[in-house]
Amino acid sequence: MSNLSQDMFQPVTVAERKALDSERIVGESLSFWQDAWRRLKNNKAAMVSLFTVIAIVLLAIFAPMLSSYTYNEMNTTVRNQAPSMEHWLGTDHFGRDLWVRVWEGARISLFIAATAALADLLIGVVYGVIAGYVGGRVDNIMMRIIEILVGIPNLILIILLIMVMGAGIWTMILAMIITGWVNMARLVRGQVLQLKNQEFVLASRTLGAQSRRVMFKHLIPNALGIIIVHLTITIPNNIFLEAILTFIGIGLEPPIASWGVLVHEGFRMIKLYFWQFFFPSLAIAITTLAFNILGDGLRDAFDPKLRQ
Amino acid sequence: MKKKSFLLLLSVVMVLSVALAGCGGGTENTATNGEGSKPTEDQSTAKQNVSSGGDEGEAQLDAEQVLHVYEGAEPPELDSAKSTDAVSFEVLNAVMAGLTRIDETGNPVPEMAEDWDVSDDGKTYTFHLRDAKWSNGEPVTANDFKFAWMRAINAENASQYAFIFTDYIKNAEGYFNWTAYQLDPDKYMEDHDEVPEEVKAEDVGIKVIDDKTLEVELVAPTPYFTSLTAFPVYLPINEDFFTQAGDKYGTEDDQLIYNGPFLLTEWQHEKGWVYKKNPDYWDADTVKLEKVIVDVIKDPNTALNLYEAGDLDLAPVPPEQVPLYQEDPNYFTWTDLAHFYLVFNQDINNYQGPNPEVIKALANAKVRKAISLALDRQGHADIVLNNGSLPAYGFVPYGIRGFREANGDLFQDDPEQAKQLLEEGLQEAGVAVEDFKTIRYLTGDSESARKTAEFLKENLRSTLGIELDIQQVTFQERLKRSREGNFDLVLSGWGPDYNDPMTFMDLFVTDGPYNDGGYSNQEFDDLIKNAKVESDPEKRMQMMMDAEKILIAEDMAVAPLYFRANANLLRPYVKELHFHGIGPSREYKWTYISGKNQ
Amino acid sequence: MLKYTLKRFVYMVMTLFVIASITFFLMKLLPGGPYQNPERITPEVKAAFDAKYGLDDPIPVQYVNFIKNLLQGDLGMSFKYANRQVTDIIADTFPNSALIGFEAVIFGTVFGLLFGIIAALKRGSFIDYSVIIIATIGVAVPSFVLGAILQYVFGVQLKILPVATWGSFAHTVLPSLTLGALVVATIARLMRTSMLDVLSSDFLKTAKSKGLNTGTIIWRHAIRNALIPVVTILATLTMALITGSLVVERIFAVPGMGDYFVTTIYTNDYTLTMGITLFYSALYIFSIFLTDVAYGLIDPRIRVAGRKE
Repeated sequence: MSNLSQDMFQPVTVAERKALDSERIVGESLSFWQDAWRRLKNNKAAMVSLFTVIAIVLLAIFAPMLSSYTYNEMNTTVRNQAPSMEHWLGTDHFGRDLWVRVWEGARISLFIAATAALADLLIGVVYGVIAGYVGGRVDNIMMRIIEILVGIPNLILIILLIMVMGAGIWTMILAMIITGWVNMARLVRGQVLQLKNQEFVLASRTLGAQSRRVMFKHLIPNALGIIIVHLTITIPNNIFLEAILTFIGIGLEPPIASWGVLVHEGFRMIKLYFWQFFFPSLAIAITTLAFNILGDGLRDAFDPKLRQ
Repeated sequence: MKKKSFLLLLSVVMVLSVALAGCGGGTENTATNGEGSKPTEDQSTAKQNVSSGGDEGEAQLDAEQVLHVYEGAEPPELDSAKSTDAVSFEVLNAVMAGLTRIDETGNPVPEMAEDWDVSDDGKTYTFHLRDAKWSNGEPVTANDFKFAWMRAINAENASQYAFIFTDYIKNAEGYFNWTAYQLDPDKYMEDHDEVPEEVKAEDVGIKVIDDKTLEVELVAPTPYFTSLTAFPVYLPINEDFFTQAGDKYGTEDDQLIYNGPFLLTEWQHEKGWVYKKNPDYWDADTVKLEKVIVDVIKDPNTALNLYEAGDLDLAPVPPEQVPLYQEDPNYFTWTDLAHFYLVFNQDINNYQGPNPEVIKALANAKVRKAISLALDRQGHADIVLNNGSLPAYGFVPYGIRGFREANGDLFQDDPEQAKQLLEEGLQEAGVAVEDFKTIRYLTGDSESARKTAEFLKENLRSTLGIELDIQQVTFQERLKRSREGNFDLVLSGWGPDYNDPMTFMDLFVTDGPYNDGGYSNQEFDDLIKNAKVESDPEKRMQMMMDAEKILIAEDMAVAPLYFRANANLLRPYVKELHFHGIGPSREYKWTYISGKNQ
Repeated sequence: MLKYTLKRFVYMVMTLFVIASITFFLMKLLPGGPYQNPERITPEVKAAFDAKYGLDDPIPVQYVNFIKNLLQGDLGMSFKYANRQVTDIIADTFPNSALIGFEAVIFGTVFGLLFGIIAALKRGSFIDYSVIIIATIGVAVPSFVLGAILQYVFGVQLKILPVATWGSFAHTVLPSLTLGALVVATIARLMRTSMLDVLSSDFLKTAKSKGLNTGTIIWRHAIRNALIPVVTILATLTMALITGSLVVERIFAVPGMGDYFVTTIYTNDYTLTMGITLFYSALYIFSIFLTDVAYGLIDPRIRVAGRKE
């Protein structure tokens, strides 16, 4: 033990105290979105996925424009050809270029899936938050409406829709929304029920926050994780709902080629010309994986509980 | 991490596709009445046949005579007087016996009828029944036939095949109308102008002379009537048993009695059933099979996999699998005598749609010919169908009493002439080229309908510069729009009800119930009308040939597309399994197993 | 509790009634009629058929008749399957569909939860990414592809399971696996997310600082709380499996209800469609009821909140 002498200690001056202020926020102040972006950037897998998604979207837009083939032009002299320099991904049973068809398919599938998923999200979140937050009789009525909607077989609704509107992209989107938003609403409601009695929400209400503020500042951001995860499941799901509808004969009108159609048609040829199945499937698998990892990364980035 | 996961994904996908590369197909459309315009859920007799096995004389019978086959669905209606669908027909044909049965060559041979006499005017048939028994020991009598047939023509039973009697048997139509009126006079009068004449049951031309003699009076001489009597709706029903079973008749295997080659047993709904040899069948010595096990398999690719695994003796080959199997010695195709063709809407008075100019143009024969000639039929049959289906250059398919062979091809694909015809036709019709740039094309929702649509669209786009606006709809919706005239072009199909060209030719008489395009030609109508009452078979045939020339070569009332065929695999040890284009498509009576365990 | 249950029951009946009515009118909007052979039916026969079954009555009259029969518990006879009661058809085929559905849910839930929990605990590791990839493929491979692969590999090539058809437990394995793959994927992903949420929450930190051991924390707190979103989706999923097994039933030739569901709509078999719809709806509503009860059991806060209101 060494001796401690008085002169080893010095009083802190006011100036020094100011410089060392423990209460001071040292870092640069960040908004919610800046913070989210910062986190996302640190997540390498998510960034790769983000670039993959961007690349797919860009290819979908530009690849068909830059090719000398079109998605619907048949050339029966080059049917079912394997990938080559002329046809990078081979050709299909009508001799159409698969490279162009895959990216044309990307346009259609992504557009349909994303539009339907966003609509699901808008309707579902608003509905779910209101039902969960307001609760009581309103919740009760809203949930009964959902029960009725879900109770009616979707297929009747979809077939009817197609009879009224005719088959096509918008019919497909509407069909997906009809079957999709309810799940989102139920999920969000469940989450809101869980959140609304937590301390920070009670605190906020006690401090006089209005319902709208509570919903947008607390409930929705906190439910965002699960909403985004659901969204990333919904987009690939929608791609395949489209395939299944095609499968039961109420899909898009030929010669439009969505990924679902390409996979479906390719699958029939698999024993003979497996590339017709392989490339569209690969496109879907990569897209799906990218969306999923990206969704995961976003979830972490948005999650207020992880902010420190 | 990113690299790792990406590589992993890649390898998983690769493994997946390697596994898939050797894997058996996808699944067929879930819509049962998909197949675009499958008209063939109902038919009667066939001339065109395929039978399995060679003619190696008296082949050695295996000890185990068991055949394992599939059906695509459950039989919905085993009350023969009301049956309409292919599966019910097939079941009924296996377990029941009518007056006649269709043999391998497509000709009627005696069954419950030992023989029959035909009057000189060809309008009265007297059938002499043999001694035969129902499976409950009761004898099969003339009354069993009368009872069944009278039920079919009584409107009260709403049998959808009533017309197969009312078109031929004397007073049957009157009886049907009278019973319809009795059922609900007000409703009847909504559709008709006058009260129908009363027709009593005993006035109908179906007479029981005695237990073993049945006399049938026809409206007009009908050379193919003994083929018709093999049609499942003409099967007998035992009145006592029927009354006793009541509501349950035909719903389970013990709610029916049998007089055919086999007995229906072990019927588990939606799963399958077993035909067991009927020891009391009059011709039991001919029947070699002890058992036919039938599984309900809805997906053709599943049936194919079951065949590969040795669980089925017979399998369908979906079009996309044909290249894999067409070299297989067990592969064969057979035509089911259905014709698929494009109907032109040419009746402006029965038109719903945005552009009447299109109909104005389609009313012109040259425009119709232009569209028809622009199609690549051979390419379509080879590329899209690839299952033995033939390009159609006439209306009546091959295999109907030598009609097609005799009347020949009535036109040829000719894109160059098509362009010229279109130009001339549009001018004649007074329709601007711009108004005829886009045509609606209505079609069914099956896979083959889809591919056909794609192919034809490209044909017309590249030769005539016409765009098809493809409208794929469900079966019922397609029928509805066809009847309402809500189409420009529609892909339609027709299968024969009986083995005579008339079953195709009378579709297009003016205002005929199935004449959706509204085709009308006085000369054609007269030929058909006269052919229907002509008793000289040769003259009659000539009239129909002339009529077909008007219909197709001159007017191109519809554009023939293809005569459908089916591709199948059959194990070589299955002998004498007959496939018929009309009526029940498989005949097991003469089938046997030989050399299975070699 | 009794009063609550009773109230829920009344709701259920009302919901069913509304569904029945809506479905009735939707069915009537579909083109065509319940004719076996609509392409061939002559106008005369059609008129007789309509008259016999009252199909030519004005729609409101038909509706009243329909509701009357329904109230007497009479679902009527199928139009297509002659003389067969709708209730018989359901009784014949539903157990088969249900069997596959439940096997798939059990298989899918067990593996889904397991994968989800492991992935969450080993977050960012190789295992985590493998789970994500497997789950992705589970969602991204449609059942018609997966089913055909399983059928070919295990049935045709390896010959260790039946290719298709129905009869023994072995026959149910492949269809259940095909259906279950989707469940594994969905639940694993959901469970992983949900677990991560819980693992980073304050109460878990409190539990940790109280000195509870990790196993107890994960079991008592994390998993239980993470189950809530999973339970939400489970009822829907079960129904989707039972009703949506259409494709799988076709591929494996299962004598189930799935196929009726589509074919009856296409053939306008009004009575059978109505019967199946009502049956499914009743099942579904009942499963929602169960979900609510399950919620209460898992999450005490909801139970308390529920009581207050």
